[in-house]
Amino acid sequence: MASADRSLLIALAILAVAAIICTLILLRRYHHIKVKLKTLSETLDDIAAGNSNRRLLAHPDEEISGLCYKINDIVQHYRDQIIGFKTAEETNRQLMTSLSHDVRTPLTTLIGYLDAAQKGIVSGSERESYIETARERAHTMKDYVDMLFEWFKLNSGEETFQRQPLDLAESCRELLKDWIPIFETQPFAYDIEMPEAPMPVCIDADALRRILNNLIQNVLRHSQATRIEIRVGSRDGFAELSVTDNGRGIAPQDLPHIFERLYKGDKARSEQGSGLGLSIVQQLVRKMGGMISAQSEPSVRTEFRMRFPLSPE
Amino acid sequence: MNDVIIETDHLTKVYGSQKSVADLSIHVRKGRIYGLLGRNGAGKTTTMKMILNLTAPTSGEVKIFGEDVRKNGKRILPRIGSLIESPGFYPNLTGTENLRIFARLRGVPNRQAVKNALEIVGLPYQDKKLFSEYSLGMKQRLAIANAIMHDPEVLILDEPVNGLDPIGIAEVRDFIKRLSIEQGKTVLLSSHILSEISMLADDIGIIDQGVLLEEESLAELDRKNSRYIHLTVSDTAQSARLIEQQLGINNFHIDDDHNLRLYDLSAATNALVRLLVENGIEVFEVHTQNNTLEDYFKRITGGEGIA
Repeated sequence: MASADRSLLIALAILAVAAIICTLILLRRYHHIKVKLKTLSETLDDIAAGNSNRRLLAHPDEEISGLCYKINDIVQHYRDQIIGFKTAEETNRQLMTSLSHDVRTPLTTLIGYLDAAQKGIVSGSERESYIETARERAHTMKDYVDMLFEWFKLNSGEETFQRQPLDLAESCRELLKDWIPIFETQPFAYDIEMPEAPMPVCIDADALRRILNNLIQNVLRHSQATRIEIRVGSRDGFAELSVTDNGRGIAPQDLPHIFERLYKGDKARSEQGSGLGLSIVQQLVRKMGGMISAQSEPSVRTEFRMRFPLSPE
Repeated sequence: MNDVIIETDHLTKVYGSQKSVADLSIHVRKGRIYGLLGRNGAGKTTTMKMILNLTAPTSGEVKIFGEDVRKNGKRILPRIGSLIESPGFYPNLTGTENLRIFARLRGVPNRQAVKNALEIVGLPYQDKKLFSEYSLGMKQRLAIANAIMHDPEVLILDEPVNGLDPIGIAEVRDFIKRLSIEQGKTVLLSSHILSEISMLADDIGIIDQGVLLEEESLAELDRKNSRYIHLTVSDTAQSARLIEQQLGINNFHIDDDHNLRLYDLSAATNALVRLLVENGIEVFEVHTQNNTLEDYFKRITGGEGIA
């Protein structure tokens, strides 16, 4: 009998200890969750006050992580929308600035020539040449306005692209076919290097055409180069495409800004097309998931190099 | 201004008898990129370390989100991503494994945080390569991934493009710019290269021998430091035609019917004025502005310039 009592007592004691341990663990857990909830609540207060970049952080295997991650997704979604609106507003403002800055100068100059012709400041063949200058300017301006709108269309995300798998080397070869006769009539030394192996990338064929054509045109029109090199290769899991010339190049202080469309210190551009063209190229490259950079040693070597992620085979 | 995110108040750090940082008061505003520019050893890293509470200031204080970083560091620091010198990654683990460790330590905002961060900096996810086999550029990329993994509101980056090749530099620059524009993040970064800062920053703080020489927005600096001849005339259309025809200059800008700016300073002012007046145009005002940003830095740093 006594031994039965004893074993009952021991069983009870073990149960009691187990119960205490369980309670302690639960209490600790409860305390932990309470602290966590308090932090979350404070964070949410901050978000409610308008700080849409605040995030709820949690370890992936915490009970509460699913909830935190869901809230983060929602907050981020709304933040992106708000910033989207602000960007659109900013783009519109830039369009206004561009129109007033970039269009006013050539337009006023054009008027200068026409007025001079009309008011009889010049006569005869000189008058004719003034009218011709004005006509040429009007065409340049039209091209410029076309480009400006292309830029804004790209920038406001209005344009959609169909990124699809293609072979970068093959596509470039195809595009360069049309350029070779032009290089030959210039006369222009050219060197084209394409790998035999395919370079699978996922980009829009038309965007690639615009990128390459823009860069080549840029060399032909503005660089005063006598030689152009176009290369496709691969490095570090990226396909690389480069357009290099030996033209007058870009001064080191200008190099950082060549892709910028925004006004920096109101510097006027003597060749208005070029700044915009490069900015369009950059936009297109980015939309294809790529990157572009420029390096220049004036009169020796100026290189535009692009990099696109290689698609897995 | 009440949207200051990081503020240092007369921050000073003395090592031995040398003042590494002296009386430094900077203001990093919300949603902007602040560039701390100075030569190597100017005190940029020490300043950033004090901001992150990695080293204690000798005097002065740091406020982030309006709170003292020394008292409330535990609350503030998870909201910041930082890259100061090289972080302690384990050489015998892969990049992904290293980030997973930091993700456990700090918590993350979503399940794909490690993958996303690697994607952003252009490193492969779950790659077999060990950290010890990484190139300098890859190490730098991983460090940046680590700084952004928890989607922080503020980024503090010490010389973020160190060790990267030109295209890598362009990528990082692009990505920092995008964080600022597309996500409204606040960024404080340092560099010893003027062109790097002028490309990226909205605001700039120039630091030399631990002292803040100037704090200004880049737009304001650009405005002050430009080179042009400003003319106020009776007729900009005819002026433009004459300048083009007679002087062969076409790098100018017409503000309105009476104001014109020439960015080509090769024309002598007297010849310019004579040309216009002789052709029946009245010239009311001529003003030459001839300061470059480089000159400005030379002036402000007392001679040698910065980069």
